[in-house]
Amino acid sequence: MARIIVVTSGKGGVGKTTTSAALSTGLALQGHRTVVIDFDIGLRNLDLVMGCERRVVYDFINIINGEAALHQALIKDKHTDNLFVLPASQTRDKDALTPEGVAQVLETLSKEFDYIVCDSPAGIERGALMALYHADEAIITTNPEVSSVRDSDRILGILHSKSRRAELNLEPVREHLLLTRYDPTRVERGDMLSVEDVTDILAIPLLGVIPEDDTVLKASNQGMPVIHLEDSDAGNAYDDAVQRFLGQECPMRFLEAPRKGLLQRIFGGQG
Amino acid sequence: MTSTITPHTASPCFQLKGSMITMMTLELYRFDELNLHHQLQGLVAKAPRFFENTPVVVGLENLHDPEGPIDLPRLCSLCAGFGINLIAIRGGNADHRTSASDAGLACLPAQPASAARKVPSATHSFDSNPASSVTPLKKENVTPIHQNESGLNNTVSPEPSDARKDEPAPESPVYQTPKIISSPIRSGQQVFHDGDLILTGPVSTGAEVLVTGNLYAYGAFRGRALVGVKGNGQARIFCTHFEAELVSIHGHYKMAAAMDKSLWKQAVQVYLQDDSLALKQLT
Ligand SMILES: Nc1ncnc2c1ncn2[C@@H]1O[C@H](COP(=O)(O)OP(=O)(O)O)[C@@H](O)[C@H]1O
Ligand SMILES: [Mg+2]
Repeated sequence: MARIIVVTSGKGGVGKTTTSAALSTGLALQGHRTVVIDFDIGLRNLDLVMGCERRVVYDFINIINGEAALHQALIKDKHTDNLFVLPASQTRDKDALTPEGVAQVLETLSKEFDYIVCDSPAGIERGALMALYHADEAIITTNPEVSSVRDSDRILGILHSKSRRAELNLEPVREHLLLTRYDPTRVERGDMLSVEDVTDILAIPLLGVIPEDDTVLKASNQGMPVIHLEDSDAGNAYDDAVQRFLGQECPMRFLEAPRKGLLQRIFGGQG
Repeated sequence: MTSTITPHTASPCFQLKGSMITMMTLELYRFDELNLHHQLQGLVAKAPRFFENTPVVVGLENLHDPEGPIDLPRLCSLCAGFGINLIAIRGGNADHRTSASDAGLACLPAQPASAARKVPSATHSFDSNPASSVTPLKKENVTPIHQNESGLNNTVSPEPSDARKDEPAPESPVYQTPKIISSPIRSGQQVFHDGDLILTGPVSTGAEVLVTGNLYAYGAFRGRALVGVKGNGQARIFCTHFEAELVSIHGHYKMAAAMDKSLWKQAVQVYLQDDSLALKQLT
């Protein structure tokens, strides 16, 4: 039986898709059979980040509608063994995701995979609810700003009341806080919330802090999950987060603003 | 949430509000003037100031002869002689109600048997005398006096009636155990509890907690706290880490912007005093 992980946030543009790609890649690199599903029907960008957009023939909705078999729609990742992508449809609307259809697809995948990563759309409507309903674990992707934290709080409430585990009164969904796009310089200036501020408000265990990093955009333009880039801070931070997810202890990194060198401090320069 | 009626005038002289008041009830078993006189004499001799300024309701639900006539004006003056101030009857038949209005007493609806809350005699507190001193003299002539919750506007106190059905002795104390919630209450969630509520987890901004009784919050409280929501002005809010967006007791509310900033993140209690909210730091 697979563990089902939802990557969710409420707010858009916080890094859910980036995280889904990195996490699923990280899990597969550790030898776990993993599938990542794009629940963001109509937008379809997980396949871009994973670099498989040209190989999409069938999608999630085709499977739900019985227009194709599951193995026809699953795309084997070209960078990593053990990893498959189930892309979203670009042409359908969100209502095509039916609860029965989603349940059936997840049940089938559950038998073949160790982890199923669900990349949730933004919002708290149908698509997001479908993505989180079956979750065993939730990666609450949050940026260090008030609106994002508020939305994450909202999503946590929904996990507590509307998930399958909540409805069936099972052990609750395991919640992990992933703070992304963290910019220590802006935190020190007081423009952004600190790690402590966010963990104090959300009160769930911290899985990791991913720094704001230009290599993320570069990697996604190349269609290569950032976790593959060795000299990327964000990539390394995702590596650490995957280790922690799998139960390893490792210290938090990238929490401090880089200290300027002596010459830079004297003559000024871009931080 | 509150039963507040505000007249539509520029500067109203009054406001109508539903409220619950705990009142002394004289539960009458029979109207036997001589015996009553005796019993009251004994009672007042032992607890002279017990009835001072205390309005008393005459409960007629347990009359031995429910249809027998009662001269309420006489009962009134009899009680007045002992400084007991009758204000209303509760229950009784049409004749009793006519007699009551002759005596200038109000008429309250009968209380359902299950709603009567008996306070054990040990918890009676009298100004000067030990509780045992009010034990009636003659058993068969007992007119027990006990506290009862009586709604003046037909509101029945929120008592779980079935919980008490097969209670063996009416003298055992009644507890309403508070509800305890330990999981965080998140933005967008609303929690309602009839009774007292204890929260051990945090309450987020944008979450709302409504209780009819008291609220005790041990985690950070950043949401909206509304207590006494069914009309209990005695209800209080206790927070160990106070950052509430709004507090409200019995419909009287205060927003964070109007609160004293020195209370922020402190241990705070909120209560109603002379119809306005008092927020005090707990030390
Ligand atoms: N750690 C990061 N540093 C810099 N940019 C980031 C980071 N994480 C995400 N981004 C950028 O933010 C944008 C939104 O990311 P995405 O993963 O698509 O968010 P979502 O799926 O939550 O809408 C993208 O342009 C992405 O490149
Ligand atoms: Mg996305």
